[in-house]
Amino acid sequence: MEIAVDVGGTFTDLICVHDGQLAVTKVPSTPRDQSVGVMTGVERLLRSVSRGPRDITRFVHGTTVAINTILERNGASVGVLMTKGFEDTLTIGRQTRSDLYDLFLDAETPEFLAPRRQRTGIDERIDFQGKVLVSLDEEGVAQAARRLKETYHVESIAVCYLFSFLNPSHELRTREIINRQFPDLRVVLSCEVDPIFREYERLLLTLFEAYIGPRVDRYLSRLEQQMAAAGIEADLQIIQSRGGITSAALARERPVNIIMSGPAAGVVAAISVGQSLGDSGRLGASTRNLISLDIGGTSTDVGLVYEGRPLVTNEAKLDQYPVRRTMIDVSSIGAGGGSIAWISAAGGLRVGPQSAGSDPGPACYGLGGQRPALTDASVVLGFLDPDYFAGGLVKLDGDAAHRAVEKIASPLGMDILNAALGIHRVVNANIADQIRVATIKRGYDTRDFCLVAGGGAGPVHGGVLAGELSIPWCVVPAMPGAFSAAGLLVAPVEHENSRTFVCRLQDGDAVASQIASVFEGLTKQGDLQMERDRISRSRVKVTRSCDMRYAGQSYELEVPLGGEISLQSLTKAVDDFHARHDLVYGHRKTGVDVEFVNFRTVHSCYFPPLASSNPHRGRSLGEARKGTRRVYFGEFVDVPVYERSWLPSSEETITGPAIIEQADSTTVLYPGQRCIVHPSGNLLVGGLCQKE
Amino acid sequence: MSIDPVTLEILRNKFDMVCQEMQTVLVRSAQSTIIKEALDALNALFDTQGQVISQSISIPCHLGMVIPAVQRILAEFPPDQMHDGDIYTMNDPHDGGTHIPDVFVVIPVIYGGRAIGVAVCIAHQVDMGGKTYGSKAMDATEIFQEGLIIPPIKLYDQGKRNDTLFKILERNSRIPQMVLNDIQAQIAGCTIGKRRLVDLCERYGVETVLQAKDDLMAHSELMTRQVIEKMPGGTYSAVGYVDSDGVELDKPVKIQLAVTIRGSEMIVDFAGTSPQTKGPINSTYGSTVSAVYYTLRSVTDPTIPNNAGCFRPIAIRTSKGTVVDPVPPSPVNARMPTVCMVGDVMLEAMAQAIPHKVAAVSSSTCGPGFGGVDPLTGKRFMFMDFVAGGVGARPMKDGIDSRDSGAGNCHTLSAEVIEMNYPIRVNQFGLWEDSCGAGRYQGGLGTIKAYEVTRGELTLIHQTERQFQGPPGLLDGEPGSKQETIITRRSGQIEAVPSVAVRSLREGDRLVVKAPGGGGAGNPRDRDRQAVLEDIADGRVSAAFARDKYGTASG
Repeated sequence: MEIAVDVGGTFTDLICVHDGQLAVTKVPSTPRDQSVGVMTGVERLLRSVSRGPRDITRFVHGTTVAINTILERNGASVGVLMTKGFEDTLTIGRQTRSDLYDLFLDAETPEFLAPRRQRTGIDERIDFQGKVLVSLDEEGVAQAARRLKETYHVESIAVCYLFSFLNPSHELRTREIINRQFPDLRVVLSCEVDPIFREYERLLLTLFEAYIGPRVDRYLSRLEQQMAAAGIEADLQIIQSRGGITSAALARERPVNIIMSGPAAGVVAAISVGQSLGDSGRLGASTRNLISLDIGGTSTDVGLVYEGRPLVTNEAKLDQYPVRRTMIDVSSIGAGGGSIAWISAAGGLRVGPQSAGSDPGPACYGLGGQRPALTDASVVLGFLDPDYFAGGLVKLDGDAAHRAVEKIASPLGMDILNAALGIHRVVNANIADQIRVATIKRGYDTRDFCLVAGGGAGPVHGGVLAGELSIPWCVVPAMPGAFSAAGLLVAPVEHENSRTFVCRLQDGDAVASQIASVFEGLTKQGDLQMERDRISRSRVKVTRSCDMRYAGQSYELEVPLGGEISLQSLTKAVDDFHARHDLVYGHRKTGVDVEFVNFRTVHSCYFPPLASSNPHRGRSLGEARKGTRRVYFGEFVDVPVYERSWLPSSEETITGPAIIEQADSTTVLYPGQRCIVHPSGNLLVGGLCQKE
Repeated sequence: MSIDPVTLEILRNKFDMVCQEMQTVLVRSAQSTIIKEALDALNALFDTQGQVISQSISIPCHLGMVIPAVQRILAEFPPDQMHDGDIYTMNDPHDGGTHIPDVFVVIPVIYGGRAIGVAVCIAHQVDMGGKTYGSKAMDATEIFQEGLIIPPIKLYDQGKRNDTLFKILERNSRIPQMVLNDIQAQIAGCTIGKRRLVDLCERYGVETVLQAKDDLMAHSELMTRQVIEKMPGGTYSAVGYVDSDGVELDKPVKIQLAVTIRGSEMIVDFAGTSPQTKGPINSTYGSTVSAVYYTLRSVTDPTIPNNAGCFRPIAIRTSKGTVVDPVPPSPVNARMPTVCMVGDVMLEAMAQAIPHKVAAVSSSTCGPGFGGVDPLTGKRFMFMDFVAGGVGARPMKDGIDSRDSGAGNCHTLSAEVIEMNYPIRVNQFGLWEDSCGAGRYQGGLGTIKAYEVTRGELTLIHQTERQFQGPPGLLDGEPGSKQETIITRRSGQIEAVPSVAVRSLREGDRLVVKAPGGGGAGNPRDRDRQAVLEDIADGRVSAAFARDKYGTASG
């Protein structure tokens, strides 16, 4: 049995596959210690399918511990050791600004990672050829470590010396000296995290790792212990920012790789939803171009799939700071079911980013929440059935929702219904802006895309958002509530390894064999990682690529490298590079040498798509209709309510307004919209924009 | 014809994206550090009337500089005579250009048999000849000493390369391969811009695309007028002095301007400004206009879409033969101190009208350049570094430490990149403690960058400003520190370097460049005590500075 657990800000979603059958469950997240919620959910899921912990063969996990640590600014107290004279690199950065004309902008470097007083210069210097110019001041290191530990109680120390990527000896020695005094102090070395030139960018990644490391480590250890105590024998696996899975052990060694762990799963899930739709040409948009939308309890994540591939970046910005790491490009805003509505000083209605979370949760949870949240508004409007929320798992208190929304209605001079509608409008506008930034502002035309609406609240808002953004179709997958969790089960196990080795084919005959030996080393490294992840050699696919550039350029293009490493295949790579340069930059150069710069292997092990997950098991629309409800869309309308699992598996069309309920979510069809019950098991909501 | 709002919004963003893509192509194809690391370049799309449709986010002062150049090209090669495959170029500072190294490349976009716009790139070329490395003769007295002058001319004529011009370019540069490469990179960027604009016409229809740019300009004009209208009417004057012209070192150069706000219009008049100078700090008309434009954008609403509409409400008056509108053959290569001073003085004038909507003055330009032959490779090199100081404080918050502001926005060079490419080692790159202007809100700290020559001999091109007066404060705030540069020779001999100067450096010589801190805002007496203590704990200000400026006892 395979099990996947995705932790969100409000709920922890679980999904499992056993004998080809899918089962899902949802429990409140436990932000103070996510592992508590994870283990509660696992027990519940096992009970619901009558299995025991030893039946679990695979355990995949998406966690927001790393990103939350950065967003909430509650990471470790970090000390920094840099080459003397460069203590301020963190503050200075590259000195540029992202807005040219704004006189009131703020600093664009993340000083919060380590205040100036916790940064110390160390006498040492390595030059551009890796030679030691000034030997390491070992006593200075020891003193600095003592001061950082004793005065500032640092939990980790980031070390970033100039040219350590050419000669790591000073950084390695620094760790020895520190750990001799403080064996448990985490020392993060830039030569290991990001051995690439440009000191500011290297320092940032090193610092982010030092900042999140202790918390990630504590969390994963605790979860592993609890799994073992519960009798689970499967290893803990974690999804990395680039969308592939790795073992918890490797994730703990390099926590920067799991910064976007949680959100990455949603994008992977969207790809498999697109695949399940097949080549539905009549959709008027490609099912290979997808906007993944995951509206949870606390936040909304938006990612992009273009021509079947997730938009991946190695120039990612994390909360505006450059992070030189390959990751799936996902943006996140504080808008979700738990987002609290409030009135600004100017008398305007605002929603979020503060969230009621799951404890106390929205007022309608009846757990003591008093302030109106988005979910309360959905209850007031009639979108949600208080008795059938999360499949009846959580009984909602409709009166409490009304009382909460009333608190903002009267100061706004509105009735409760219109205040609730206002909350929805504000949230929809915020999320629409977020999607706009991810698509239109980057030059992607939303009319070429499908929106995949995941997360418990995704299908409530997806249709309206699609309409507002001229997206022809909103796809509601089979199990929207467990959307990201499902992505975890289909994500490949993946390891990327790379090494810098600058050379040209013109350097001589030995080059091909030197490159071959670089790849040999990388392949061994990846094989070992796969072995540690317990993936048998026969299931592993290895792809190779190299970063290449024209001599004199500072930016490289990645070119895939197939077949045996030989002069012939490398010459082909050079040809491919010229062609790719022409494609990307519109020209090629003759008479200029082409340089190989970085060599890379990616080891992957793909899993088959999830077994047929068509939730529609009924015979006709009439059979699926379970009642009528009064819903407020600006005026009250009596709308039919359908049960999703009773919908027919053949293609049918439902005309809005209507409500389609299922255990993990509710799809709201506004007047004027229509919904195709698609044989693939997805719902396709369309009808609000000019073009379909 | 009206365009639906969704399409208009998409096209607006597409125009911006196209310019960003042009910029990316340029930066990634270029070889000189000044383009690929410092990003001293700008790409833009213009219509055939010479109005800017959109530009890449790069350097504010390039914005206005492109406009006269494009208009000059359009005058020389009218749109009805443009052909697919044509590529135009120029750099003549006295005929639409800025300074010799800034080379313009302009490619017409032909659709349906007619020119519908042009893709433009301005990039700082590494060396265009002249008496000093980088075509940056800080002691030039005539433009002819500064480098090769290119009038508006065809680089390509309907796809046919102008070999004569390329041969002349090659013979006139110290580093010809890099110049030829980077001109190709400019062409590559513009070609992408051309392709993308054609794609937009294919997809949305040429009439829609042209209508969209007109609508967007009208929209920006309206928004700018609405902001100006809200400003109190009247005339506001201010004066500032550039340290010297680099030749007559004892003579400060006066910049005087008066901003008149009348209804939704703004007039900027430079009456009272010094005549053009003997040395090279003269700012060509295009450069002056750009300083006024970026200041206008800063004091109106920076979120207004950036296009020609923003500038319709403003009139600029200069007199020929002044330092802000020089005539040939005056030298102009060191114009940045003047450009920055124009921006600073205009900001001070605006502070009288809308004191709570402007900031104290920030550090000015500070760019040491280095050129020579590297004994290790035997090759010639030339690069400019940029050391930004502090950002001026704002009426409600502190300034920012060590960040580029105002006219400039170049990346400072990574110490590792410098050492890997040039015979120079960076020994320090840090904050300059106590350099901030005191105030209720404190200016950002300035910056210290220390260089050492590791091999051979090289030429230092020194172009800075504010050695005599630190960046002024706002609302009783104090000025930031003054700029300083010191050379310590291998022998131990120490010499100060004036703002605009050329010096020779040898192996073992050390150079320390200090960029000023920003001006403060508000009376220092009102500064929050806790903020002062935090700054002391972080070593940003000394206990002595705190005592002196804020009356805070140490600890």
